[in-house]
Amino acid sequence: MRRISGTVRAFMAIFAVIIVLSVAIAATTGNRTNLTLPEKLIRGIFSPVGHFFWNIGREVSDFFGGLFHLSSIVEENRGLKEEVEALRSDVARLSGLESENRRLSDLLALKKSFKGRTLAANVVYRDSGNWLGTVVIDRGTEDGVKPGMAVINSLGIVGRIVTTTGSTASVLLANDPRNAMGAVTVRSRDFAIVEGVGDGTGVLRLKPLGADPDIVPGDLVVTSGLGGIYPADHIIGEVVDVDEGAYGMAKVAYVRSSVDFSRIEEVLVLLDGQRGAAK
Amino acid sequence: MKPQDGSSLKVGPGATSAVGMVLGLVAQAAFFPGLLPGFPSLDVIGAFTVALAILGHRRHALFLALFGGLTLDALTGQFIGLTALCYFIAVLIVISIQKNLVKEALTTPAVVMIAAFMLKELIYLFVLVSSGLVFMPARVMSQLAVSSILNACLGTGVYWALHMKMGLQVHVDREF
Repeated sequence: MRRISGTVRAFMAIFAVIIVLSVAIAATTGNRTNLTLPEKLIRGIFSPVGHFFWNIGREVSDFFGGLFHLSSIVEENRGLKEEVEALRSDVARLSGLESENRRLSDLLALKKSFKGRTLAANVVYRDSGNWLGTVVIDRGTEDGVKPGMAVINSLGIVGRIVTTTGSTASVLLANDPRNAMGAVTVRSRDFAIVEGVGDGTGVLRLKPLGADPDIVPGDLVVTSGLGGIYPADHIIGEVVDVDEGAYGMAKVAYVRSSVDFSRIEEVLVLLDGQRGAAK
Repeated sequence: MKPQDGSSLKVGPGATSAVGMVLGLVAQAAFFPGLLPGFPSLDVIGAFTVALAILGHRRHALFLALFGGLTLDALTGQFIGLTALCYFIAVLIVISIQKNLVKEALTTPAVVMIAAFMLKELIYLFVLVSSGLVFMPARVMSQLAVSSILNACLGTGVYWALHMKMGLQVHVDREF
């Protein structure tokens, strides 16, 4: 008897946990702009720690990237091997600094090309799953960041702000399936909607709005500025494939984004929204 | 950690779940994405959770599944509870079969790890698709296979380290 009641209790507890989690998921599925206090606390505690370990990961990655690049030179210059060995660690460190310097210079040039106010930010950590695309940056409401602001880098559109705390903000990346933006092809001026496909790569789905769109692989796609979030004429990417669909009625194209979403490190937040369009 | 025969350290399930939680948060959300950009997500908390479940530490496995999953979700503020739900269901299934598993070789834990991680990803994907998100089928299949195999390798390594090197024992529940 006691054994049965224990089993029933266990099943009831399992059922209750599943119900509570399901309710929490349902309540946080849509567009959230405000985080709860526990979420803000967890993020506030974790952000500096996450930023620290993110940087360590990057440094290690840059270091081994530098070593990998040097290995071909070592092969060609066996006579200089000893000298190369001595310099290897310095070069690996400098190659990381050089790439960071290049990224920051690009970002500065981009910042100068805007009419509106912009804010530079660093990625501190990212979504730990395989299916969604979200990164957290080290700027929040204290710096003027609000949900709905566009986020870009020197390569193109990165995404938009969805939630904020005082010192951090979540960026929904353009390749997340929840993201959609107005777009136009540069060659044929066909208006379309570009949305994420959530596969973790830089491929985006382009759905033309017109009846008989003229879209071919190689077409450059830029933002149309019609959605109210992203400024016009920012590069989204290049068409890599066109699916004509049944009877040519449901043409869909796939766009390779100019941004490498897995390597986003520094970004610009457009504080003035549409006014942040390029000069 | 408790000393074993004065020569080596023996870890307990409490310390394992605490280490798994801290290590998992730091590694999954920050270190690995910085180190291996573009690489499928390595699920450290999942690895510790399933390893604890295979060894019969039910309470610790469920605790880590729920709190680890909820904390991971809270970090990004979206679909709160989804990771916890996936871990929870996967762990429940592993717990329900763990008494029948051979624990002194790595083959069975490795197979259970693959199945558990695949189940976790499928539940995650099911909820996302149910909420209206669309994914490309070919990419889903490859992502499922690659991430399940990678995480099963990680999980088997964690199991080997915890059980075979650090002395985390199988928990036998006589009332179960």
